[in-house]
Amino acid sequence: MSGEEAIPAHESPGTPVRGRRPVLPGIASGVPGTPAARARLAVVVAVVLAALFAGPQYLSVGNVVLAITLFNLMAMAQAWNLIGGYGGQFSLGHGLFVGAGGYTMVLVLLHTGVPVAAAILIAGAVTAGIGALAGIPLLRLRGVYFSVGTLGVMIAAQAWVINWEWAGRTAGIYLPSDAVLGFSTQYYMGAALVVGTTAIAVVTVRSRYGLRLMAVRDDENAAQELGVNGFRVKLTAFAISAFLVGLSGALNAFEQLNLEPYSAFNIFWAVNMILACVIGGMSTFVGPLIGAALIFELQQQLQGYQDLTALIEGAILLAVIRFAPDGIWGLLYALPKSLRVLLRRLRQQDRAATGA
Amino acid sequence: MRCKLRCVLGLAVAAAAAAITVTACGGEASTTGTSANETPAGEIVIGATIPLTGALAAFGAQEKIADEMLVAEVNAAGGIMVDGEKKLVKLVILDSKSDPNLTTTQARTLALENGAVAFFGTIAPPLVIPLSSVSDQLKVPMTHHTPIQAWLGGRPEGWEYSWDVFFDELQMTTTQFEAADLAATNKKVVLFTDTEPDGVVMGGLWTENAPKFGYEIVAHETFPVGTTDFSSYIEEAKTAEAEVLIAQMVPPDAIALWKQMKAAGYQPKVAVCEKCSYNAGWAEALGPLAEGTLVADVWSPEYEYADWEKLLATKSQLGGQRSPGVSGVAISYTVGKVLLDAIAKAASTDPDKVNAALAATNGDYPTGHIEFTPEHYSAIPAVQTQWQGGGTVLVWPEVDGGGELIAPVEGLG
Amino acid sequence: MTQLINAIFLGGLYAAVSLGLTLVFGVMRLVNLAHGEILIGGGYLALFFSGHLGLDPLVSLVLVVPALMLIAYPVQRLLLNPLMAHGAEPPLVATFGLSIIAQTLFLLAYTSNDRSLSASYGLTGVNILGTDVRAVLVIAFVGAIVLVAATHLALTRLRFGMALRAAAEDPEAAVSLGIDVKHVYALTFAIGAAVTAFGSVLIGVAFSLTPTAGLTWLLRAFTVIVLGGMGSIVGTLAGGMMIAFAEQYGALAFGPQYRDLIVFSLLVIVLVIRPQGLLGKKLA
Repeated sequence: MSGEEAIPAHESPGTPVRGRRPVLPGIASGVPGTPAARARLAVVVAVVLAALFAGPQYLSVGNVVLAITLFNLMAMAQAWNLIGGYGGQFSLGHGLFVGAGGYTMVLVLLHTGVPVAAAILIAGAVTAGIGALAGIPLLRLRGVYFSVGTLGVMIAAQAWVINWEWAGRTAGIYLPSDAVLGFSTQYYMGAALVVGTTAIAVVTVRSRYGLRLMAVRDDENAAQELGVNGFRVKLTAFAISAFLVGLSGALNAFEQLNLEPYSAFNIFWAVNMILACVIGGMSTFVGPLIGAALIFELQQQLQGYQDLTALIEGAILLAVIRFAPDGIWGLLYALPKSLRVLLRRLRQQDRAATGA
Repeated sequence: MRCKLRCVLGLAVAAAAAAITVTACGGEASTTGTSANETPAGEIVIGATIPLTGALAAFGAQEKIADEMLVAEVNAAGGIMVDGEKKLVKLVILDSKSDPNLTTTQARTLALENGAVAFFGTIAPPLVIPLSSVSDQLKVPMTHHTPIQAWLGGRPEGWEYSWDVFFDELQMTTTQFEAADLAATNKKVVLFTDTEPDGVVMGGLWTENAPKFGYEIVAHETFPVGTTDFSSYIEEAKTAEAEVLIAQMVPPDAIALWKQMKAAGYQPKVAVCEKCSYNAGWAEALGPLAEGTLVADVWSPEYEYADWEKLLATKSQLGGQRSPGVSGVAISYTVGKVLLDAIAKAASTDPDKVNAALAATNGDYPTGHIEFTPEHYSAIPAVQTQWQGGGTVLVWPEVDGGGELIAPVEGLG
Repeated sequence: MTQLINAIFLGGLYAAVSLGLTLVFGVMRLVNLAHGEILIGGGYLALFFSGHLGLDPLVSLVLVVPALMLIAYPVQRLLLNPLMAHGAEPPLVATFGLSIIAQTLFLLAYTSNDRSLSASYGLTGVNILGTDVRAVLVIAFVGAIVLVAATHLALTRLRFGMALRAAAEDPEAAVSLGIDVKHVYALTFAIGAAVTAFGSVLIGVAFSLTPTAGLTWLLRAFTVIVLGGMGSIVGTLAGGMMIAFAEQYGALAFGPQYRDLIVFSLLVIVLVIRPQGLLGKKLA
């Protein structure tokens, strides 16, 4: 890997980021060509979905509760990836949307007679609005300015809610008892959210809009010259991401039963999303899911040594970004090809050896 | 590039990863793993998620001592008779790091994976309210000790499976003025309260009660937990010439405040620090600065209630002096005993039977007589103690064997 | 009047805390997301040395500074230098990963209980024009001015300083002039950490140390350098003052509990209106 000259790419606001981007089409590369392959894919998808949604039938209550948390993490990672991986804007402040979604839903339930399903959707919509509003100033920034800017907005929101009497200040707010959902219901909602978020990601990225988004990510100035309004493209992705994370935040409120500002608007939401996406593989659909499963598994295995988890995750993150920037899915993706290349080389050596 | 095999592979890998995660790790970690309230292998599992580290670590340490002492005693006597068999108690403690979210997750883990049939609760409303929510959601009875009004505020329609033994702020917030009457002051008060539930409740009550005792609140500073810079508040207190300071904050914030007051040369005649100085670590952290701080307490060996000698002896684990830390042990021990007594009376770990037994509690414990109201609390009259010579002495009410109030505040002089 | 005096001295502390960040950015265009952890880490190191050897916290800097430099140099040389060739994102993610690792190490070593450095100047006040200012803040102010002046002079007078500026302006040209840019970057990162150590001790004495405290300090430092001018050493002093003023007077106007909100709103506003800061972006 080059880099021994260590001439850094200069970054100041306004200069385009030129660097190696993971060029991984993932599943976005296209639907399988032949009808047979398409049928195979459909069958696999159907089996997976059936197993997923039948979960509460064969899983113990404890495992259902675990699954709920896992689904939430997967959905959030997938949603972050829209603006972080495909959009090229590294948001550190996505906790803003988790908090906004959760608080909005609980406040709606506390003060209106709206049914739970509607409250969740309202939470998503309001969060999308917040995302759009925040994005207007923020998306004019690039690189680290954007990242720190999102963080600043999230912490400002936290400081605001801490002092906001209607939202319970530091005591927070609690879910009204008639809105406490059973674990099975939460499971289905979580599973639906993961599937839905992935579906939205696939559709969005595979569309013409998605091409424009990735073009902006790879070279915004060039895209601009081709007539693509980078700002508007990124703003749309940011708002969609905010909507989806807002829904996750609402579901998280059912898990927590009580919301308070320090944990609702916290950097660890974004930390988990980033860990999942970078380790799993940014700019792919499978990457965030694998990454989320991996760090969740790690957290579960190290139950007694909770502190070590973050250490290991950080180390894996560094290893991935240094040696395998395409993430684990990128490695797996390249595996068949590298195996084939390896096999071919071995066969050539064989032939050379036997003099054929 | 067409995806064919790779796409299928990818989806399969992702699905497999999720499946393995959910089934494998859930299976290993649990002992029963199926429903809450099963008694596994002849043990009664009691769960406790306590702040052993973080802003409230000082309180967690006390609770751990008390919980372990109680369980050891009960097991030494053979355990509790449940469903016709004598079963030993198994205590599972998890560190909540003073984090409400972690408290919620850990409470669920304790109930669903460790098979806890009841919880030993903790002290601060931000932690107890989420814990009580899980207790009600999963039907796991629990007892705890936290300021009553703040806790009741967490669920207006009332709690079902959790029970509180502590002081009632309505009474507690008069004791500061009673104690201040023992010194000569200009009756001007400055309040320092954080925006936690207990801070809000107490701040409001102190404001209400002050005029009843002839005191005037000349400044009321409110701030979120985690504030580090109190310089402007101290300036205001000095300008308003407040000679009485009443604070309700977490220990780390209060330590910063005390140090800054010392540097600013502000010495009130009477200084109270609720919650902040209610632990053994106050003198440890501040050294000589801690002298003279007043704190409301819920246990006084002077009254010689049940087990008072045994509990006073735990001071050796908490710095060697009688302090609110020892009271913390006493109150934790008390609520734990109430819970175990209820299980014994119900002779079962069925949540509703245990809950009914808790409702019928009527007995004498280390903190006095305990009987629960329909709102699930039993109030202990608060007293005022003062930090003197590295430990605390009872200064109000004035009883035989108690101490005398020293003013002005020595530590800040 | 009190607000003014407090603001000036607090501004000195904020400047001292942010100088390392601006130096690293000025030379390498790298915003170190782990800057907060360097601050807190230095504080814990000071706690370790002053605790075990009975040293005054400021005196313990003699040990803390080399320790931090020894850690920082290889991190830049071996991890961040190679990543910087791939664009702006990988180093960002890497410093992010480093901050997570650092926080966990602090947690394992010292738990999440609050720690602070004990020193007499944390408890005494100095009366300045009628206001009692904490002695530690006076030290911070004086120290900040000294450090800023020293750094500025080093960059403009010393040969090494000029090499730094050459590498900052045009790395490729610098290489052709025989400057070892890799070494320069690593050394800059190390010096940045060294300068930050002074801020660490100040924070440890004036406030407290917890594993997660780094984040708010990073945001504050970032706000300081954005306001003062990304890469401007002297600007850091101005930026620090500006933040402190905003906090003090904002607290007066809106109430002290909004102090954080004011600072972070200011950050967002300045980022949007004038990201290169109010004093321009030339190094030094």
